[in-house]
Order: sequence, then C-alpha cells, then structure tokens
Amino acid sequence: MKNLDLPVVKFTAEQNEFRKTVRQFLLSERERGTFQTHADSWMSGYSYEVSKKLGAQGWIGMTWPKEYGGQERSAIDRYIVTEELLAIGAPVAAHWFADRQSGPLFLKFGTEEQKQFFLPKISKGECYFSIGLSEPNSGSDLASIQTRAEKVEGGWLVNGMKTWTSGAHHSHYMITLCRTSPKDEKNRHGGMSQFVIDLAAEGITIQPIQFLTGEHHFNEVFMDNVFVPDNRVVGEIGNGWEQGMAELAYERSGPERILSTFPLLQETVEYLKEQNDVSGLAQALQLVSRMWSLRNMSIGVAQMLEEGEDVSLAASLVKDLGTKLEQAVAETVRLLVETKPSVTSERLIDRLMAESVLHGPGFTLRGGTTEILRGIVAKGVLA
Amino acid sequence: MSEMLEYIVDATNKILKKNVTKELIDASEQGEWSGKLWNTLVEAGLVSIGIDEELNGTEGDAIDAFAVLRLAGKYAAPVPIFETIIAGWLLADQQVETTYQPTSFIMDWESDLTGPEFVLKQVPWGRHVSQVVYIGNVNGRAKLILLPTADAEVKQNQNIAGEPLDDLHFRSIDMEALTQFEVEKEDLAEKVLNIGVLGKSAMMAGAMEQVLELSVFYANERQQFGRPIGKFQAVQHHLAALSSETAVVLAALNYAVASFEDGTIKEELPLAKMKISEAAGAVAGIAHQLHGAIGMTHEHQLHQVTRRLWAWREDFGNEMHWAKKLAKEYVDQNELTLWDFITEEKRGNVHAGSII
Repeated sequence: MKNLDLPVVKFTAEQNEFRKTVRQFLLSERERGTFQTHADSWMSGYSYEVSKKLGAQGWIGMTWPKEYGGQERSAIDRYIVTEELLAIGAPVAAHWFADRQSGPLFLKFGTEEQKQFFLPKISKGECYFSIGLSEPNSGSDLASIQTRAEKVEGGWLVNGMKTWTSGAHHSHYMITLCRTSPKDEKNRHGGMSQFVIDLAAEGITIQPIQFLTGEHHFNEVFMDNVFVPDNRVVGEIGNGWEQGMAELAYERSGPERILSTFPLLQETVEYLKEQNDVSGLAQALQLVSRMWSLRNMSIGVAQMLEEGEDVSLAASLVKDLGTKLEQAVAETVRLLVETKPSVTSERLIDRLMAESVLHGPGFTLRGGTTEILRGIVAKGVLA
Repeated sequence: MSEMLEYIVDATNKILKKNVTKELIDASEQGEWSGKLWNTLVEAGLVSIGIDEELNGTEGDAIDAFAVLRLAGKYAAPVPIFETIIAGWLLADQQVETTYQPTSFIMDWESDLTGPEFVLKQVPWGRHVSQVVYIGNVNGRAKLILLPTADAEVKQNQNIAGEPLDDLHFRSIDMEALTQFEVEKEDLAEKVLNIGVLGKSAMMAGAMEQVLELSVFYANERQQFGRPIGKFQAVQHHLAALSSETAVVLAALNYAVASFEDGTIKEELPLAKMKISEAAGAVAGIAHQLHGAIGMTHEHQLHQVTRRLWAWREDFGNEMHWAKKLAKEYVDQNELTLWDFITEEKRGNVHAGSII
C-alpha cells in the first residue's frame, strides 16, 4: 500500500512578507483599472499588459536560473505568486502555460540555444506558448495521435491537426506532440516527439472553436507541411511521451485546480458576512475546509516537485478533488445567495456565478479528465 | 519523518498488527477487557507517550502521540489509549506521575459537581477505566479532579462502534480528599479541545487508511465475470475516490498537528475536523458499496472500522458544529477577506465550548 502522506509546508516569515507584496501589487493594479476580477481567469483571461507587468516584477519564470531571465526563487515562492493571481482572478492566461510548462520543459530537456532564445522572452511576459496535445480522434487516448513529423533536410515536416488548443490565437509557439515513427501496438508510448512550432510559420491555420458561451479560447490548429528546423526539436526524438508526462505533474497539482472559482466564494462570503447570515456562512465555510485541506496537499506536491520526487499519483489526486471542489462552489453558493447569473451583470456576484457555472464543465475535463485521473490513481493503489 | 518517529510508527504498527484481531474487537464489544493488549501497550510505553521521563512517561512529543493514535484508529484497537494518553498529559501538566492505569477524561462546563453523590454521563470506556480525569466546575470553581472509579456504579451504554460510553454513578465521594487542581478555564478548555480533536482526527485518518487497504484487498481478491472486480472501471473509480479522500484527510491532519506542535494552531483545528468528519461518511459509504453484501455482515471486518468512523465523526464536534462556530467568529470579529483569512498566519481565536 502506498503511503499517502505528503510533506507539510509552512510558509516562512519572508514568504509571508513576499505574499503581501504580491497581493498589494495586484490590488493596486486592479484599483487603477489594469484588470477586473473574473472566475477561471487563468484559462480565459488574456491581458498582454498584465503579463508584461508581472514579467517586469520578476514573477514569471521566477524559479529559473538568472542567466535565462529567472530569479532562482523556490517553487514555494512561485506557488505564492500563482495563488495570489488566482485568488484575485487576474487575467494571466497569455503567459500561464509558458511559465508553468514550456519553460520547465526547456530547462529539463532543451538545448542551450533553446534556453537562451526562449526563456528570457517568456520571463518578460512577452512570449506565449500553447500546448498541442489533443487531436480530433485523440482525446483521453492521447497515445493514438496522428499528427506526424517526417525528417527532411535541416529539419522536419509536420502534418496534422491539433484541437482544443487554448490560446493558440494569442500564442507565439506551440509545443506539439507528433508521431515520428509509425505506431507500434507493442510500444504505444514510443515513437512520439515534441517540437516547438512557430504559430506564424507557413502552413499553419488557426481556427476558433467557440466555447459554449460563444467565447473564443479554444482553437483548431492545422499544420500543412510546416517546416520545423532541427534546432526546434525538444529533447530526444522518440522521447516525447515521457517528456510530456513529466509536464503533466506541473499541470495537474497546481492551485489552478483548486481556485478557479475562488473569486465567487470570496464574494459570497463577503455578502453573507454583511447579511449576518451565520448559517449561510457555515455552509460556505465547509467549502473553505475542503479548499484549505486540498491546498495543504497541493503545496505538499509543489514541495515534492522541488525535491525531484515522482508526483504523478499525488498530482492526480489533487486534480480530481480540486476540480470537483471548483464545481461545488457554484452549486453551493447558488443556494446561499440569490443571484441572476449573467456575464454582463453589473453585480459582481451575478457575473462570477455566471462565469463559474458556464466554465464549470471544463474543470473536470481539461488537463486529464476525472475518469483518466481515477484510472491512474486506481492503478497506483492496486499495484 | 524523523528517525525516532519512524521507529515509533514501525514498532507500534507491529504490535497492533499482531495483537489486534477481529476476534479481540468482537470480544471487547461483548464487554471483555482487552487486558493483554493493554499490558503490551503499557510495556511498549505507548500509553504514556508525550510525558516526561521524570513523571514516569516515555518522552516523545505530540506528533509522536498522534502518530500512535492514527495507528490505534487504523487497527481499531479496543482499549482507551486515546483517553489515557490525553488524561495523562493533563495530569502531567499538574506534575502528577503517570500510573499506566486505563484512564478516561470528561470535560463539562455546564454542570457543577458538589458531591458527595453525582452521575457522570457517557464516560468513554467507563466500565474499564480505574480513574476519570474530570474537567469542569467543582463547587463553583474551575477544576481538574481525579476520580477513582472503583466504587462507582456502572450503567452500561455504548456508541455505534460498540465502544463503552457508560454512566458512572458515584454515591459517596469525599470531594476534599480527591486529587484536584484549580485551573484557568479558558486555557484548559482550549487545550483539551485541541488535543481531543486532533487525537480523534488522527484515529479517523488511520481508520480511513484501513478502509482503503481493505477495499484494495477486496477489489484484487473478489472475482466476478471471470476477473477481479478491481479490473472494472466503476470499481476503480471507487478506489480512486477512497484514495483521494484519505490523502486529503492526511494533508489536513498533518498540517493541523504540525501547527499544534509549533504552537500556532487556530482555525486549522476546525478546518481540519470539518474536512475529516465530512470525509468519514463518504469513505465509509464508498467502501460498503465496493464490498457489496459481504461488507454488511458481522463476519467481515469492514464494519469494525466504518462503525468507528460513523461514531467518531460526531466526537468533539462534527463538521456543522465547527462550521457554525467558525462562522460566528468570522461574523463577529473578522475584518479580513476570505483570502486573507485562509492565508494569514495569526487569525483571531476560536474559543472552546463544552462539547465533550
């Protein structure tokens, strides 16, 4: 039986001070109108201005070496920044994926040239990445992808299609998982490789997929004989699956799997407090108890990542529970506060409720469906 | 985990695994005293953990003690180890040497003990303990007193896990002759509540670990449609849900225990107990669904842990008790936003009530 204990992380006095600095900065930026609070803003809120300002503060790529534009700060410091951004619902989607996944991928598997070329730009909040994994016929069964890259003189020729690509219309590059040798049923996870595709390259067509609200954050990305030079292969040819799976640990255990609807919960608690509604508050606080517990777990995973431990099981546990909590916030709040959910309402709680309900279905799908995560967990504990 | 703690956990695990059988728990529920197990625990120093050597204790800290209680919960050890450890700490605070006698404790600020005759209601393990530490009003003063139970009349009662919860009728107590101490009500009440909640929470976390282990075992062993039921996705999802609830309960417990040990515990206490009590019902329910009919039988051991979860989630305040208390505090005095409240280090006080 696997031990399910995770490290307990207590923030130091310096870290608490740092949190205050970040919070103060964000509050004053919101005050001066740089951004507004939205639910699920890490996925759907784009502001180049906010991304650049955060870059200027040194809060993107902050754990990376200084020579690549980083600050060499700890994973826990980074955790604090991401939490503060989520809690205030700041529009951070533009740089989020590069900061979370693409940068660490380059650091781990990239060439020196790639690190020098991409990382400083990412950390300034000026260079954005999308993640090219899913395809029309490859969702949860990711190993069945068909986009292929063929070796040509000086590089690779990529043909195929990616879908559900968040922010491709804002991003400069897409880390793209491609098949580089034919599928082998005996080795399903072999023969795949990761490429950095320039989204402005010839042969790329980006088409929006409207979200159920009509908003545009997903895309289909078509690749028709797109030339990728040899120096834009990430890591080793044939090692794409392992490299991609390592990224997922970062993706699945972070605070964005717990706090997507936090702005709604905070607004609700403020409202209930004003109303002196102790019974309503008590119900809201039960969500807070779940959130607090999960937060301890998620920070524990961040600590394990820092120590280089395998967190695939723990990250799956966090995401499964966290995303259900994100959905439960709206379902609980709607019975505590009367709202008219509306994305155009002037009443903040109406708007946050609308965003939380409408974006809700995605929480338990994106980044690995609950069903896939539970399969990973069950295999882990049954073994 | 420190080396010392690792050693304690390893040794305790071995002792409990070897000595706590389903039959032993059944016999305890029939009223038998698990004397042999108790003596083994006494000899291993586990009932006096967290008490200084000069008071006959085993040394060690609260983290060690809660780790032992987590294992006691896991194996459903049918002895008052939780009560004895906590009573021992309260006595040690008054410089009373520990005697290794099974001891219970009860806190009640509603009534006033005047003697010579009174009834203590619902004393955990009342029929088997030699003494009870009573915390409450005695002749109008806040006191901690030590009551020998030899002459008390026992009216038997038990919780849904079959753990004794007896009324003790004392007929002629010479109040003056008792070992007794004047106490600061607020401080002591808070301390008792802190260690009571954490100790019970640790036991519940252990019980949930056991439920998960039993479920994994059963899913691998039980065959239907020609294969182990653990091969079916629907069953795998139950296992995943059990794992995630158990993991998050441990995260809540471990954080709260660490806060207790470093002296900063405030809202961590109610937040942890709320999560753990809520998870108890979910975990028990899923495990029974996974085990099917066999899990409902007395013959199977699942009920020995699930009934404990159902009983213990009500002890020391269930999730709504703590939610209301926290909500009231929050409305009365909290100027902080929710995010400040979650992330601030020092945040107001949640006062103890008389709920034990």
